[in-house]
Amino acid sequence: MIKNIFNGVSGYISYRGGASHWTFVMHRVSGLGTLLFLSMHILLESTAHFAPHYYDRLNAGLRNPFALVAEILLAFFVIFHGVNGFRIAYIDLFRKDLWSLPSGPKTAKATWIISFILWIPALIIMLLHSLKLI
Amino acid sequence: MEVTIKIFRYNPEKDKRGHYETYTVEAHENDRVLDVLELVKGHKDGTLSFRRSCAHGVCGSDAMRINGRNMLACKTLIRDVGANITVEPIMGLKVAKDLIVDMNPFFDNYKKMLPYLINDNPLPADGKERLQSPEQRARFDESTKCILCAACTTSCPSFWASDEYYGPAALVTAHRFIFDSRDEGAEQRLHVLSETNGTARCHTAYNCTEACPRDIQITKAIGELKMAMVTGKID
Amino acid sequence: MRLSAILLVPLVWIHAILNTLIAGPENINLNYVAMRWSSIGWRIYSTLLLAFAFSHGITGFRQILFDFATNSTTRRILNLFLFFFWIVLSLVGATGIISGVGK
Repeated sequence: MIKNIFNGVSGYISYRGGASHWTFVMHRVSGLGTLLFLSMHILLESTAHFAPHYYDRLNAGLRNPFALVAEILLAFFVIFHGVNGFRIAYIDLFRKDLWSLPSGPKTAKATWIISFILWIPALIIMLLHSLKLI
Repeated sequence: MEVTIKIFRYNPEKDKRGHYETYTVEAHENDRVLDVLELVKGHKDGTLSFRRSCAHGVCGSDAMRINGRNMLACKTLIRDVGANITVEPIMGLKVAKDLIVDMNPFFDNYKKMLPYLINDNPLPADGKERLQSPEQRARFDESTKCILCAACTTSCPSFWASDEYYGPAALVTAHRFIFDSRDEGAEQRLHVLSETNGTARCHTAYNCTEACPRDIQITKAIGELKMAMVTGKID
Repeated sequence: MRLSAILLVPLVWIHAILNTLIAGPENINLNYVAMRWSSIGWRIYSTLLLAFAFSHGITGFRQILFDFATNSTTRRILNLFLFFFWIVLSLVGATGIISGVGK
């Protein structure tokens, strides 16, 4: 299994595929990243019930530049995973003819563009909020 | 023009791991990558090994990774890939020597698809042939074009992860027989496909369709297989 | 997977827009959580979000792992491990949401 992971991941990185290859890799990365965050998020929020005195202190501990960068990245992950997931489900269920050339890579490129367009306002609002914290 | 070609080299009798060697040859921009490889083998280094047979994109021997992407060396022109070329063996299969890989896992997966006509019914009354309309033939026309070069299978992230995944080429073969109106083995094949290393491992990364030198719409074909498995109907 | 995914897009995005973009992290504290969890509607919303999001994540992670692990014993061990991870965190989260802010 370790050998398989090594082979697989080195393929993810070294294959010079088109937009669709990188959308696939990003879908995986964003999914894993979000799952990691979600697990921590569940544990953190549950302290509001199990240890309410620590909740505010834990929350304040997360207000640093690293957490801000991670949070902004997470926003992109969530948006991208949603947009790309919607694309895959839609094509798979209703428009199989789009799984062909050249429309396949085009929809992958569109996923990146839509994700960035949705992400930029989120980025700006998050930065404005972070200014209030300083 | 002067072409710089960086080739992956591995000799199982001497080397522990592979390395790259760079050669410079004089070639025309309308030459193919295969021609450059032949020039290197003929004039620079006779120990270079690679598979080639027909050199016209039909036999499917010379699939390799050119500038990081799977292509047929005999169908790729120098002017399309530039004067600096990197040639590596296809990924996911064990390298036997230089650009030659062990294709056995690939063909084992191919055999699992029962790649032959299954029909035990008696012939029609005139005893001649099982007729098929042009529309019925057109239904699986795309997937008959496969030359088994393994460019698609070795571009698939799921296949890199484990060669127990059947891979796009095998699924295209399944599509070719399942959607053939003369064939009666669809149920058997759909059963094979529904195993955990079958279509469930296809995550629509789409590298296969982009790598296919025969322009088969592989992801679409796999999508049709998935639908046939869910609905149990073949149309 | 697909069903939870389609539900998750509005659920997660509304959750993120409301709490991160409108409320803002500087306003999130114990009182804010208590205020949100005082309404039964938001509790149902949060429980649904937890259930769908976390099981979607675990199923997706399982799909990724199964790409690499083809051995049936390895797969069984991974299944067990993921199941416990899923059930423990879901229960911890659901207990928190349903019983509200502690004292």
